[in-house]
Amino acid sequence: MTAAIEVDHLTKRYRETLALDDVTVGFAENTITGLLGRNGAGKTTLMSIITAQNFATHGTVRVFGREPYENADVLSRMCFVRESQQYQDESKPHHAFAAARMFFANWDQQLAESLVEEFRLPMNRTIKKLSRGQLSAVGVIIGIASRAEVTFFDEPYLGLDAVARQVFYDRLLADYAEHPRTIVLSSHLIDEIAHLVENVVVIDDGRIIVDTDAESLRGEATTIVGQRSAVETFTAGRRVIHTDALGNTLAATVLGALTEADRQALARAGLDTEAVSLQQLVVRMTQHAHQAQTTTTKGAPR
Amino acid sequence: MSRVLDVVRMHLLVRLTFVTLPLIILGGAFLVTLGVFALIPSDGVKIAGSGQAALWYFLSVGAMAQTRTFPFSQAMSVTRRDFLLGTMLTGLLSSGVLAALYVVLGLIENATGGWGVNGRIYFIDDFGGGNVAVAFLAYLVIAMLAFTIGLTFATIYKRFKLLGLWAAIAGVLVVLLVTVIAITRADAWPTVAELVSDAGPLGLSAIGAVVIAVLGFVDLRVLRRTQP
Repeated sequence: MTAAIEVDHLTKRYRETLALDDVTVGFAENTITGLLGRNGAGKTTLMSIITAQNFATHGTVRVFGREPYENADVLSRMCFVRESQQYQDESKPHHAFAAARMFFANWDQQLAESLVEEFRLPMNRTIKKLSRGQLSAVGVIIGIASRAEVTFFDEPYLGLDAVARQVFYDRLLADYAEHPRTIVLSSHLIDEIAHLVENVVVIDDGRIIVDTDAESLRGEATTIVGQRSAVETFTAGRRVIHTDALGNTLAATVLGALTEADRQALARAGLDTEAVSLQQLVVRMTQHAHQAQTTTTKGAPR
Repeated sequence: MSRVLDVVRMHLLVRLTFVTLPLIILGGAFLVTLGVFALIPSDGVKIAGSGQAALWYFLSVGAMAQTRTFPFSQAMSVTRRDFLLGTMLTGLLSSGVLAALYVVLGLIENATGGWGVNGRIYFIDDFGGGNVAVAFLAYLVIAMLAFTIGLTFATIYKRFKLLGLWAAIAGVLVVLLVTVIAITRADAWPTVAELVSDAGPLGLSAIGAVVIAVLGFVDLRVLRRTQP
């Protein structure tokens, strides 16, 4: 599969902080990628540099093989409504949609109107006076109805209630099925979008710590549960990213797919396995990355 | 080019900034001034500068075009260059409409003997030397100059924050001050006055147009590294 977006050794340094640290990653064409990570991990910075709204300190970005900065041909094929998007003074949702209709060639007005209805978006209130959820809905509608070849959703669910979030997920998936395009969905509500995403990119502290397809990531980790000594024997020499102990029982999450031999060994030792949800896996890996980093820093003076 | 025109349409989607408020200010200033004129018992020529209120308002129209609409234009995937060209074009269009209104009001003012009270609000004769087209051009350049100044300084603020804005303003003031001192030292004020009067509305408009172009160029340089 070809990459619609290629990011190469991208670094973004603000005065004191390193927002992106030598990021190299690709986003596959006509695929939904989940861009996951904690608040402040660098998700928005990465998306705004790809869309030329922000600038890299080092490194390059290519979209459809070309640099997006001041490139109308490339930019017009992308849509990125940021989570904290500002709109024109005194504008109402219909003004924002009218503008989007002018600038996005594939804009579908009917789709936009039906989404307005489903999100129950008040069209005659100024955007300034909308609730957080309604504000998110404006961005989501622009994102879906623009049908841009590359579309970014920046924490699109903020303030949306459970019904509205489900509307978003369902309508996005339905429209994507009919009009395949490259979608990057930034989120920290990982389980909610787990069934949507085909690829997963996890960013932590400005670094990419996971970049793989969702299917293989799901088999990437398993939690082994059972008697402490038996669990410890089995996990010896494996990469354990998390442990929970309760009395004599130990639950250890190990990285790496289990082989048939592994499964037989587990059965012999009377150990149980539990699947690890995408969210748990990302949380554990993120924590693990931090611990590893702390350890390295401590060891550094030698 | 079509994206530049779309930027113009985007600016005009919400009519408040570019259409409604200038008209309210123009109309409000006119009515208030006329009321004051009517209260003055003298029959002599009554002069007011309030007619220019809408021209000055164009400073903030320019500033708002930057601060309110630039971030939105980025979500619409517009290049910075297209945004600036479209914004300048919008400024030029609305300056043109405003200038036309001034000329029309000025003609009415002349025809009605200063609104029946010998008032002077629109100074069409001073601006155009009796030539309506020149008066139009002069008003157009003044409005556009105010718009471009507001736009450029708002961009500088967005890019370099408050410190950069004050540095830019201080820089302009220093240049003006040095010029004034230099002219004074050289006892050249009579020469300057002569140059200004020789240039006339047409020459001054040409100078204004050059300043607008320079500011537009500065704005583009700054905008190219500005984040929404």
